[in-house]
Amino acid sequence: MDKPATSIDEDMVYELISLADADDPHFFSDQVCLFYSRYRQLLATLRDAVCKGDSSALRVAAHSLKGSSSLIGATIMYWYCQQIEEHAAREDFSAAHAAIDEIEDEYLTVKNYLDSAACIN
Amino acid sequence: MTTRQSEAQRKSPYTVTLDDDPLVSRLIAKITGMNSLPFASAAKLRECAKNYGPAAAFVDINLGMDECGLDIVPFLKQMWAHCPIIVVTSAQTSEAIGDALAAGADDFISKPFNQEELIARFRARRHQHAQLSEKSRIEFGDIVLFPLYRKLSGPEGEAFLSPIEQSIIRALIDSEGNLVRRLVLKRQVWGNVKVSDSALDRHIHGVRTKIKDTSQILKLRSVYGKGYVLQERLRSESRSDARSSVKEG
Repeated sequence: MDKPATSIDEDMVYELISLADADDPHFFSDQVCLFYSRYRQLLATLRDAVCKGDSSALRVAAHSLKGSSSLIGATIMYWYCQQIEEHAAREDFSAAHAAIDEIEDEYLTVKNYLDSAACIN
Repeated sequence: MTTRQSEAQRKSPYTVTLDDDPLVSRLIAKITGMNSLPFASAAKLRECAKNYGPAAAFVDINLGMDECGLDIVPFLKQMWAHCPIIVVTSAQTSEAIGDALAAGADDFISKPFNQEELIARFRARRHQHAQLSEKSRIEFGDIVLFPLYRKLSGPEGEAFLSPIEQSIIRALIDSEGNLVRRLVLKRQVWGNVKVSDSALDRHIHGVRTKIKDTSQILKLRSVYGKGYVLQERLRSESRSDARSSVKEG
C-alpha cells in the first residue's frame, strides 16, 4: 500500500460528524477527544517498546493505534502504523523509531484538522 | 454506569462490544441505534456475561498484549445461544476471517467501518438468529421439543433424544394429532434408506418411553397395520394410569 496523499479521509470525518444528533450533540468531539487520549497512551507504549526492543509490544501498540486512526479517518497515521507493524515483524527498531517520529509530526496535522472540524479550541 | 441506567438499558435491546478501543463501542452504538455495553477485557466480559442478554456482540480480535478476542467466542456462543457474534478487526486478511469463523463467529466486519455494511450485517445476523430461535422450541400438548439440544421437556421431566427419535417426534408433532403412516414416517426419518418394520418398532418403543417420561397428557398410539398418532390420552386412560400409580405407591 502506498502512502496516502492526504492526512485525513474527509468523507469519513463528514460521516462521523453526521452521526451527532439531538440526544448526543457532542458525539464527534467526544470521539476526537477519546482519540487524542488513546494516541498519547499508545505513543508512550510505542516509544517504550522501541527502547526495550520489545517487538511484540511494538506490534500490538501499532496495531491498536492503526485501528483508532482508521476510525477517525487519519489515513497517513494509519499507514505509518502499518509500517511499524512490519518493522516490528522484522525487529527493525531503528526504522520503527523513525516511523514513530513521523507519526508525531503527522499527529499535529491531524489534530489541527480535527480540532477545527470539532470546534475544539 | 448507574444501576438505574443499567436497568433501563437491559429493558430495551442493546449490544455488547469487546474492544480495548473506546471509540469502537460508541461508534457501534451510534450506527446500530442501540446502546452498547463496552468491555475492554475478555476476562471481565467472561465474568459478567451471565448477567446480560445482548441483541448482538461485537468482538475485537486484538485486545492488547495478553488477550485474543477469538478465545472468548466459543464461551459467548454457549452463554448467549441466540445472540449473533460479529468479529471486528483491522487485520483484513483472509486468515483472520477464517480464524474468526472457525472460532464460531457468525460474521466479520473490518475497521474502518462502512456504516451501511455494518448495519446490513447486524440486521441480517439478528434476523437469522431470530428465525433460529423460533425454530429452537416446538410445543405440542404439554411437551416442548428443543431441536438444538435434542431435548424433550414436559411436566413429568426431561429426556434426551437420539437423532432418529427426534426426527420421529418431529414428524408426529408436525402431523398435529393426525395419523402418520409407517411408510410416510420411514420416508421422513430415513429418506430413501430401506428400514425394516422391526427397526422402526424399536425406535417407536424408545419414543413412547420418552413421551411417557415427560408428558402427563400425551400418548403415542399405534393404529394396527397403519401407523402412529401422537395425541392426548382419553380421560379413562388418564384415570386408570392415576389408579395404577396409586396402587404402585
